Amino acid sequence: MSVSAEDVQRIGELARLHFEDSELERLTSDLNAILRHVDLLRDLGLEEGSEDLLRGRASLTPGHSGHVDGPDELVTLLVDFAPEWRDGFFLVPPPPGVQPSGDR
Amino acid sequence: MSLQDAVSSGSSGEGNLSESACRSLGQIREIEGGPEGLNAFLALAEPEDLEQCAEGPLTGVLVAVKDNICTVGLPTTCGSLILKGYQSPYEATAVRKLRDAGALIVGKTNLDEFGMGSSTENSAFGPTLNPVDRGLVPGGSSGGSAAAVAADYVRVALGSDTGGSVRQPAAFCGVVGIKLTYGRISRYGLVAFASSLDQIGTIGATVIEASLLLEVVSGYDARDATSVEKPVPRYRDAAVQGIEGMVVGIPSEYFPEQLDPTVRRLLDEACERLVAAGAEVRPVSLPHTEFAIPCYYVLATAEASSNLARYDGVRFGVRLPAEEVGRMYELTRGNFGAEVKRRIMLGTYVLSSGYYDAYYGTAQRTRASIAHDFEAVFQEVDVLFTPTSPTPAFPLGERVFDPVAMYLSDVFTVTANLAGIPGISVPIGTVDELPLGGQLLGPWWGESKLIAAAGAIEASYEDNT
Repeated sequence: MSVSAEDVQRIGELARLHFEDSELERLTSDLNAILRHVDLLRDLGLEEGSEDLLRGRASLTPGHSGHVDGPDELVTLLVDFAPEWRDGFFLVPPPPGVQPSGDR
Repeated sequence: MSLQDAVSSGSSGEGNLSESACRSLGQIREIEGGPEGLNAFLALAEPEDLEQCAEGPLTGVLVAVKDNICTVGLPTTCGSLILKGYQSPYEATAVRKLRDAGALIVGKTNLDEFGMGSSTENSAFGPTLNPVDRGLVPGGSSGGSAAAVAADYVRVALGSDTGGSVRQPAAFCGVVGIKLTYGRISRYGLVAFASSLDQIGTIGATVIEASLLLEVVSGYDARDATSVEKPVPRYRDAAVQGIEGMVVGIPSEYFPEQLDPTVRRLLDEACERLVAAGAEVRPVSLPHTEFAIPCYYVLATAEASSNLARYDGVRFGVRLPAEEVGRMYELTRGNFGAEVKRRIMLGTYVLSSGYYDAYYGTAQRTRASIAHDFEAVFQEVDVLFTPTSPTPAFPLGERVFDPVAMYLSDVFTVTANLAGIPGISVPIGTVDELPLGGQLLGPWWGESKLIAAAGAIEASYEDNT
């Protein structure tokens, strides 16, 4: 499979990345070179529906409990990072296009 | 003071060790700030940060930490403009364990941005130079850590290994690099690139030093859901236990016809040394090896595209302002470097509607086949011996504009990450005065045998000198 410059632009929108026209040609060429290499996987014949080939085969992760504790208490208090802080909340600039209400 | 000296001397005086640490910090600052600098560090500690340390097995020992592992007091940038100056509010479990053991974190080492690269040329803060030859890359992505050890700034360092990023730079710089079984070292505080492949690893001047560091940072951590509750062996003992009767497999797929004859000769010599130390060497096959690189680059980029979605100017790092929120995302994410953008794009593509199974699904099934190859072969042999990389270190700039050539640098290392198995790179001599690494791979939780084999190879070279 290969991608066109238009495909790359559309993927960029999905990935929230913007590319100038001058970058698109190079990126399209790079991605197609990588995809040509990735297409080697097709030679394996492991497309959808071939799960039976894997029956009884290796698990991908060594055994683990699946349990996870909550995060550490922060070593540095959040307030030390905040440029502005009031009543337990960060004060941040309003999102674009939103008019702040009240005193902030 | 070597790590071994520090351990064998026990609590030999915190003050003396700290003093010696400060002198070393001063030397590092002087060298790195001058014309002989390697750009191995992105941040160095202040002398007062090294004045106190805990009592433990690493009291006063300087350790360098790759800059994608969170530290309090030193920035964590991942080599990226998008995290320039970022201060983590918490510390990685591995770093906390180091500090609890008495280690002093001397600085944060340079890396390919977010661990994406094989040469450390993808750092937003400039490439690291190989201390063996400053015109060559140190490998990557933990190139700063490997260079710091090879340049004798530190005896040990932490790196991370998603597709060979500890082992390959260790090979290029002539030091030892170890990646353990997935789940052995907590990933809590390791900035995610490809979560199912990422593991923290250690780089050391010698096998025993890298093993000692492993002992400290390994072990179950309830904060990492993939961490495994298993006792941690005394790896340092394994390094000297010998390999009498060990069966070493030589996978034919890792010795292709195109392999440089000098590289092959050094590998053959290392095999002879294993035999001389009491091992039996046996040919084996891992038939899915040729599919490892395409498989890896589908899965790693897919996971990266998801993991790096969080850098949007809202939750982490820098924000470039714009009138419209979508534009703000794009401008902010424009701070990613070219390789990171390329991988996010590839990962987004292989996960997109209509292509998901053709790429991601097929790669997952391929990964299972690769893991199965290893599972089967470890019924017959204890460990495998392979080259770490097809070539020694290559010149700066040689592959930076050819992503496929760069990706192929990892052809012998990515399989261990795909299967979750441990691997070690150990020096096996030089090609035209450039270090070459031999790689040992083992089954899940088989680190001790790997360390024993690496220790035997290392000892055989010491015996010759």
